[in-house]
Amino acid sequence: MHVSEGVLAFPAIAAGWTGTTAIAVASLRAVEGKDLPKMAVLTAVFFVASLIHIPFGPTSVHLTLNGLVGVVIGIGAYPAILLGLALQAVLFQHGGLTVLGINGVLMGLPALAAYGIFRLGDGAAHRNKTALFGFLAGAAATALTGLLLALLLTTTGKAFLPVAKLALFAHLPLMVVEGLVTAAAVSFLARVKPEMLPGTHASREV
Amino acid sequence: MQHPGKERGIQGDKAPAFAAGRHAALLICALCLLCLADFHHGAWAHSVYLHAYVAGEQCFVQGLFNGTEPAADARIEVFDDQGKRLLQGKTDGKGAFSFEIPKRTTLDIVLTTPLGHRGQTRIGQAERGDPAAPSGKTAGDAASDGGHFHGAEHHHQGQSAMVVITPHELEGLLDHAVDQSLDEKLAPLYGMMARIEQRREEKAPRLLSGIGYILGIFGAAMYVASRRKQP
Repeated sequence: MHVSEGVLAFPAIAAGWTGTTAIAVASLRAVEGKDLPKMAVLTAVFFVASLIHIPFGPTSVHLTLNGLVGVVIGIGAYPAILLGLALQAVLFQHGGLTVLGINGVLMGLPALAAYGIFRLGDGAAHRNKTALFGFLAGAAATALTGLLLALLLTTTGKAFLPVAKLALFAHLPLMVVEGLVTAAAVSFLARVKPEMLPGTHASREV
Repeated sequence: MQHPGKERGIQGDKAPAFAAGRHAALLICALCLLCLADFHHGAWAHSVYLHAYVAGEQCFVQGLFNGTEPAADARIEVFDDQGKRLLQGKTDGKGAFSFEIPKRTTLDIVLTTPLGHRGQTRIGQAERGDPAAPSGKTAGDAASDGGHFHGAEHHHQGQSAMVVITPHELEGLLDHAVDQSLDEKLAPLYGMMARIEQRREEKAPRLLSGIGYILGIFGAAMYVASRRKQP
């Protein structure tokens, strides 16, 4: 779901960099020293996961796990995702450096949204409910990334609805996979190390 | 959030560390297996690779995700060396598209998928097999380099020096000419395959170096954070 170099016009690229810089600075302020090891692990997971692709119909989709990164890191997820994207662009020509700003928005904003969705389930008394909100957060992050991509491609002269339909249809199986992976990960963390999940009762008690 | 295992996670008295470690090890093993399985099928990265080759006056292009999955319904645009668009079209279900070469110049071929992925390749003089290019020998040129064939050519031109060749020798000459011609025609394809293979082989070290960068950057950040905490 990365946008490649040469697809977008300069105004869209400039807007992406402006938005990314503002969000990344705000996001970095929420990062505490104790979160850094967790951020390193999740950045590595994001970096690797985006390279695993799933062939689907006329296109090919790949894991993003931005929802999982958002749920586990919280507000500080944005710079982690930005770093992962920068390394993908430099090492794999996946996306690109000029479109790093816009790709940061595409992947980072849904990660923050996923954190918000997961927080809605804060106080869930049952493990299954934790998993459910994890699933919703993971799936919603993928759907939101697809919608943002469709919105972005309208700047290249494409109509929003057909591209949005294609983006959502192409990423439907990925939404399920991302939801399941996020649900499994948060269930596991809630059971063995709940303080790793930010914004929950357990993390506040630490 | 009241997690059933919260007390176990925090206090660590009801759930032995061994159990948590075992779960973590299983999770890591599963992720490693997933990665290894993907490596096996060469299904890494999501970039679009655009391959092009020329046969006669026709240029054949194919867009592939990861070098294996076809990029169907993608827009193909062909530009000349001045950046002027010469033609455009769409790939079929196999990610393929072909066109008659519109102009004897360096051609830049650009593929853009409906979801914004982009690949690009260039067809120069050598790929087109132009006579001026060093590798641009035609089959006829190549065959005429053979001494035996010179004799046969003289024979056909009706010159006085008659050279007689046996059917066996003729077969050998034809085999030689066909092999040489095929080698030249297939050379771009061999090169293309070698490049795809090289890209795949380069992925593992790049992946590890990426993880190394991440650990290094966060390690430095942790060092700075720890220095700030010190009185």
